[in-house]
Amino acid sequence: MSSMAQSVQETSAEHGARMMRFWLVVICAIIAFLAFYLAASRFYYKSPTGMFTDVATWLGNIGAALVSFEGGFFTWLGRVVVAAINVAPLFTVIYFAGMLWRLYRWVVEEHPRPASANPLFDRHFRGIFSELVVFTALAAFVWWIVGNTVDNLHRLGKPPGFDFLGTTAGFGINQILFLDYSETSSYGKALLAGLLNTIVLSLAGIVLATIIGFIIGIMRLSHNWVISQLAYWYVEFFRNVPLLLQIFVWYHVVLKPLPGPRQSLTVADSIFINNRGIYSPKPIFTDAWWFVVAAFVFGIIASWFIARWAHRRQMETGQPFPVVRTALALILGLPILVYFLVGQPVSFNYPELRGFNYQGGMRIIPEFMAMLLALSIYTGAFIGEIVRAGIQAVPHGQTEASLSLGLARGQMLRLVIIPQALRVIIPPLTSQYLNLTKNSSLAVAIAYPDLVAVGGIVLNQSGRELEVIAIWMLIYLSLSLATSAFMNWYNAKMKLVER
Amino acid sequence: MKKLAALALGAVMTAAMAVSAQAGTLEDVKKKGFVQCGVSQGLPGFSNPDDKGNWTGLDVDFCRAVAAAVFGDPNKVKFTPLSAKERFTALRSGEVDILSRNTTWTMQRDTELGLNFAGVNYYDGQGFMVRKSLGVTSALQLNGAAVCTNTGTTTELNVADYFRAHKMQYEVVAFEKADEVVKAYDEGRCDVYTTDRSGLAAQRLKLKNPDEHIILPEIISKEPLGPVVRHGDDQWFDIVKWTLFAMINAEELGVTSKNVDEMKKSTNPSIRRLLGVEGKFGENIGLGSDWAYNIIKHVGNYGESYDRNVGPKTPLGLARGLNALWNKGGIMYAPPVR
Repeated sequence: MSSMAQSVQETSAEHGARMMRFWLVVICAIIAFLAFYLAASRFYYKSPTGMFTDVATWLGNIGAALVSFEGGFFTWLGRVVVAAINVAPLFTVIYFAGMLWRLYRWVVEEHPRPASANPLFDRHFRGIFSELVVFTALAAFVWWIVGNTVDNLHRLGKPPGFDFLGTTAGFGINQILFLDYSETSSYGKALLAGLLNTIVLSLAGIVLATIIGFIIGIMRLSHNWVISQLAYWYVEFFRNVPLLLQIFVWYHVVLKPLPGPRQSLTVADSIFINNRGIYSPKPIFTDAWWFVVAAFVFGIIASWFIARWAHRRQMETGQPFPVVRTALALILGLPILVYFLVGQPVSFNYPELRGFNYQGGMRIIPEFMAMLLALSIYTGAFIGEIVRAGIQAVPHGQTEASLSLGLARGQMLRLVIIPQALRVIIPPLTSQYLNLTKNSSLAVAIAYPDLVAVGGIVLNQSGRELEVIAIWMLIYLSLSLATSAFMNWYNAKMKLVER
Repeated sequence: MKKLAALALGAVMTAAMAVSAQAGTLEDVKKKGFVQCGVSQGLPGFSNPDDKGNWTGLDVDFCRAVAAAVFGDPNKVKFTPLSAKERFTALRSGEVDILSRNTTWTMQRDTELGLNFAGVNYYDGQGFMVRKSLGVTSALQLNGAAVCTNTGTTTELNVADYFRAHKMQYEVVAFEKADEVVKAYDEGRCDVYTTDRSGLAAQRLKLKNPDEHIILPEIISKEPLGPVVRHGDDQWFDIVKWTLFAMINAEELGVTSKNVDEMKKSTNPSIRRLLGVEGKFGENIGLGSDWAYNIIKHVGNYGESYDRNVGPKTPLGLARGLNALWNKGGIMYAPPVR
């Protein structure tokens, strides 16, 4: 009897809870739909039914954008971006549908839960509900901003879009790498040229800053008082003077004392240095050059296998093998040998003074030199401190332990100290690399045509502030994320392997 | 750069928030109590701060003329120095009410960029400056030269067109700030400095030895420079436009800052209309009937402003040339006040 009563009571409690769950879902659905609709209607829908008919139009638009190649690559890219932005709300719709489905399943499915549980305290429900609230707020905010911006740009008579990327640029750029940019190229290509200049500057800066940083960091730990003080003052000076100031100083320091093109400093009649840059002979490779390249690649691969074999042999027999010397011979010696065997397959294009300036050869513009010096010297000061901290973070006991194991000083550094120091060094080093990349945007101050400088010209000539700024942000974000990804991979490789 | 970022952010914000600053610039200006005027970062003769921080120049005079027309006081104006790159964003985002900054009137700016040019206050053309020691006498001898210029200008497009049209090589070195261009040219980074000829005359004064440089005879472009306002506010556009016309008409009618009070008693109907003795021309643009009187009284007519700032007796020493009145051999011409 009593058990019967209990079971009846249970079902009615359960029924109550179920009804409550049902109404909660309905309320959620209404909240979500209203918020979503209010936000979306600011921009996309002018009538309630439009919300559904527009979906077909969006899909049509993106299809049309993908297959239309008229107007060149950058016009196509612009169209696809705009179409993708237009379709983006569809994903919001799909997401909301998914959420409602999850809620429905939560209502109908029998989860093991206390009979009279208050749904508000159900972990499962609260998970879905809080996700829904956060996402709705975010989507509503984004849609409201986007909608307002687009509306107002239309009102200003400047509908947003990326079509302008295909328009003729009409301006010159004084450092073009890996591209055939000319004044008749498009804005898109100009931006690409700027991006390549940024990448080259950043990579060169990262390499040089790392070298400077390691030297300074090690000097700082020197027992020689003069050397360590030198490093100390280097760090304190360069990291405390604003970078922009350093860039200006380097630019004018590089520029001012250099002679004009007609009084160039000459090294061996082939390298010319003047206030227009550093000119050097440009190698021109014949087909036989590929043998040299092949020898070089072979050298690298062979060295890798030899290193592996030597490592295994040392593990098994304890016999060391001169890996470094062998590798050097293979990677450098072999290609040099091949180079002479196939009859020196390189000729040089020497720079020549024609008219106002040197023509031909390879050239580094003074703006690049100034940027590279300023960025790497500035960042090198920070890296120096990071390196010092990393080395000091390895306990002294490690040094003593490795010495008592009979390791030589070099082996101790290479096998014990540096691997452990790197563990501490790499994460802050990543930040410095990211800083350097972003700081390279200061190049605009001294006419180095980086992404910001060229983008600024494009922005000004085309009047597309919003679009150009969006492109800037997106590119710097991608560059930084790529650097981070690489450094995280390296960090994972370097960290202590723990059991 | 920071400023540009701030401006860009401002532009995005104004675009993102509802825009109502579009219409009613006159009311906004009256409420603020001053005209916010965008000028250059320092171009002698056009807009340049003196050693006490007072702005002077042809473009500055124009801003003062607008302030005189609106408030009867030429000092109710504040100046915002803008780089070539920032100027249109600043105007469009409402940071300045007028852009009076040696800006070339082009179709793209007038239409696509959402701006209105209120007329021309200086007819200019792009030229080249080189060192005398190079022995160059014509721009056609500049093949292979390195050319310093400003970014965000018509200049960098013209120079590209010119060298391309004449199948000449060149290297462009484009700086954001005019002072950096001058410095780089002076230090020998470039063989050539190019900008509008009036600008060359002005910037030459900043070089270490101005006499060692010459301006080549070629004029490679038409550069009609004038004040600019935003699209979409016809009343403000009218006020700015007719401020310029009033100054030009005043010169044509012989009304100067010195004789303007006597001229009020003139029997010449054109002068009487201009000075608000007859007709309701001031009221029609939302100002007092003495709007033009105030401009001429406080700032002077176009000729006075020209002579004071860029004329032959100034360090710039620019002859009137194209900028003389239409009946004196130039093309400076204003519609009549009637």
